[in-house]
Amino acid sequence: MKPVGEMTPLDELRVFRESSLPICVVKAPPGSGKTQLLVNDVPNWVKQESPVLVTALTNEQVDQICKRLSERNLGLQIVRFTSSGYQLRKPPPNGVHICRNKNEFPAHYDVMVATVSKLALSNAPRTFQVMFVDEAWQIAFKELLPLTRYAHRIVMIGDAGQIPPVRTVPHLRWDTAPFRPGEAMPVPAERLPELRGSTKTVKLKECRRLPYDSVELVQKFYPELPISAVALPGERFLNVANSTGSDPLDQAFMSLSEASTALITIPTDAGLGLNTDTRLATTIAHAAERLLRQTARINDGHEKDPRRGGRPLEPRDIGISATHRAMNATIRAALPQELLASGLEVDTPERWQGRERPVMLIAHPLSGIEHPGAFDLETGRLCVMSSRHETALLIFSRDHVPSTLGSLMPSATQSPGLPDDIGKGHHIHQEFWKFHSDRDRVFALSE
Amino acid sequence: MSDSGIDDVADRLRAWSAGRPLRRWNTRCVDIAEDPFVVALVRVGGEGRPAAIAYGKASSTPSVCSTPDSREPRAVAEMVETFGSALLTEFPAEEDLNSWPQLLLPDRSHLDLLHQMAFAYSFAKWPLADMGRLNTVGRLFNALFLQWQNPIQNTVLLASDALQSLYIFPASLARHGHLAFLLEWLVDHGNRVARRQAATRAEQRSVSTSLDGAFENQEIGDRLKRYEQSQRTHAPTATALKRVLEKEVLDRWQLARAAHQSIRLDDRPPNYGLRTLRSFSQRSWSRLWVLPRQKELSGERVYWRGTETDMSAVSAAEEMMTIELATQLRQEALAHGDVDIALSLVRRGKAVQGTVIASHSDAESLTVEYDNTDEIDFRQGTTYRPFGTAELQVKLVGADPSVRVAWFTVEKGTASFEIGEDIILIEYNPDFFVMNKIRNMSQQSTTALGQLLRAPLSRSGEAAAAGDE
Repeated sequence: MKPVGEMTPLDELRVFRESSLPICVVKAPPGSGKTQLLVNDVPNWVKQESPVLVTALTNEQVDQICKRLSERNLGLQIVRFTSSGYQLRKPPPNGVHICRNKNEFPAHYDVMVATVSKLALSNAPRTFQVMFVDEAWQIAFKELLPLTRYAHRIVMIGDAGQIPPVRTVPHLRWDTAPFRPGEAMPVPAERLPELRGSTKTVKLKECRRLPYDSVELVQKFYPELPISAVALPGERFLNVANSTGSDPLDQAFMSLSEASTALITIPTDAGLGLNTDTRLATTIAHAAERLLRQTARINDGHEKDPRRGGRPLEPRDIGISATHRAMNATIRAALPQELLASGLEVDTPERWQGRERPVMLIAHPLSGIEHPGAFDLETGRLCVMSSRHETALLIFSRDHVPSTLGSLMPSATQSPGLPDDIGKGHHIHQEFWKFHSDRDRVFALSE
Repeated sequence: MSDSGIDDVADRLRAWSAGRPLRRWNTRCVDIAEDPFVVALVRVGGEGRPAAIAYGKASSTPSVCSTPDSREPRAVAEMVETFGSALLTEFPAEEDLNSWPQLLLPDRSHLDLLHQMAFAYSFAKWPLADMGRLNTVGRLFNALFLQWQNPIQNTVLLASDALQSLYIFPASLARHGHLAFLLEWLVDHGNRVARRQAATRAEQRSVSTSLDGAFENQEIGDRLKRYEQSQRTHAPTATALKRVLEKEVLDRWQLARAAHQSIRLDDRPPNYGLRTLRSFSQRSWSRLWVLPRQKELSGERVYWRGTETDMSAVSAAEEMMTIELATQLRQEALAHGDVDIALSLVRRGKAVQGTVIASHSDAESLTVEYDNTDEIDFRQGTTYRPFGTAELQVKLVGADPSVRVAWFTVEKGTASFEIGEDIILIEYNPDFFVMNKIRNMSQQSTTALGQLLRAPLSRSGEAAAAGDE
């Protein structure tokens, strides 16, 4: 419950709207309704005469924003500005005009929605009073600069704990630059004293997606952002009807009626150091198949009497994620094709960002890595993978990870003035594993 | 360890088994000039400036200059100015499409010292009464250092890097930076044991900009003390110091020239992708040096890039995007010129290898049964170019991993494939996207947000006109 007198995020955005500040940063944990906040606030700006620009990284995110703005049924005229080659999967929602070049723009519109890339490559049809950026922590600061031609003010909404933008080239030269081109778009606004005075920060604190005890786990990724769960204790769980506890996997399934996460290990043997761990891939595929076969049922909190068991688990309720594309391809190959055809999805954490499933099965990012480096210890991927589920999360790993982390002495190789991300990542990884071992939620599969 | 790391270990083990360095790729992927300008540097102790410099064309006798005590700023500045004048002649403010200037340094430590000299002189106001020429030389050092960071360039070449690009050496990676060690491996001393012994002997001597510690104590330490005690006036000591330093720096220069000769003698055909990259390299060099220098000479206000970092948001972003693009272009250009490189991309999932099982010129479609040994995660919409072609582009429409078949449509050019034809499709990322983005970013922004993010911060200072700093 919100304490009396405390402002809601929408109230805080109203304060920003009425101010003259040019930058607003909205920091939010996973599943806290970031896009919904955007969709709720955009119409408030439309009332102020000039149109609003909304952008995000991918076409899927942009299509989703169009759909949700349309669903609010406020009669907004929305332009979906897209490239000539992009094929929409569905007909555009009501009130959304597809425009592939500037000549197709209607005389009047309220909101223009486009990907960051489309806007960066095009020439501005006009200037907007404000630009909303959804999932702003996924986008590198350098991508923002071509967009500054479009708007006087910006609202950047996102999740600071997720995967930082990909940097494909050495970035040492810019580590000491005031504006580091490869860092997440909102970071300079928070870090630079010159911009802090021009920035309003809004924090979302309630997590709607995750079960109660998963919020405690995910909180470890957000030491500076207190998160509270909307779900009540014991409200959401997975009930595996035919479990007998006969083997560790079955025991892990059974534990999901009491807790929402379980860590399942397989012995560490040959195969360490490869991007594709066939044995782990087969174990994950087998677990997904068995969950469905054992008629697992989901209680998503809507059932008044939780003991009645909820609804049956279906393939489309399950998502699987591993960090490497080749590993995902191996998992897909190990799964019965009918499960994939029925909606079970396997993809990288990058592709899972902003999405959710009732049940997630993930390959631990450090599994198989004997000597973790800076890239491996970065926690964004694990954070994304651990925060997509609404009911249950099964984490699969080789069993060497706690000893690997225990014997590791990470070196602080960052440039002067930069935070010790490697040390922080090492600590969070250890805490993540300890969370499960302290609660007897580690289940060791034998051969 | 990543898959590419495992490949590298396996390659080095193969070289070990062969008892000699093995050729990397079928083509020569190093664009080395016929007669580059070779520079070697030596410093004493922890000084950030050189004590001796050897420089000159690979085909001629080098010039050598030195100072007995590199702690004396004026003497070092005068020496650097003399060397810099020769370097400025070699790297004029002119564009020549037929030939290009190339700087050849022995190893990475020389590049680092060049960068330190850029720090010292680009914007300095002392120790010379007239710093104009030395500032220009400092900015040329900085431009060379920045150009080296661009993976597409051929303006600055490190001899040790060039040899590693051409050969797989049977040694740990930590030893690969030692130029004399690499060169001895390439000499036919006989079997592995003999080559290894020769390389290990060569490795005992320092070839970086720093002198060997024991050698420096013995040959420099006491003399330098005596020279200092004489208020830097004792000529015989100065001569003795210069003799030691000049011999050391000449040794390093000769090593770089030996590497140049070794590379020129390589009988592999040059990778034809290098020709494509050469024009990009020239464009980059023009942006960093030729155009700003031309402007400066005509009295215009010039933006010189910073020696430490890019203080302006736009220049930092522009540079990062340029280097990202260059990395991609280099990989693609070289892969189309060498089937071995193309196959390495197949192993990394960046290319598709297979057989054409259907091709319809009317429908402009292509079906490939692929045989990548690792599972490949296809992304719909990815563009590919068939190996060795620049005019044809195909786009992935879909794939069925259960039967290992992928479908493509022709996006650009005319397809003429035969059923049963072996094919390698290499991922292609069009460069005009990035170029447009950079152009749009560089435009003046009239919005409040644009002006806020483009305004120079209080720490900024690099962007001043020449002479302001």
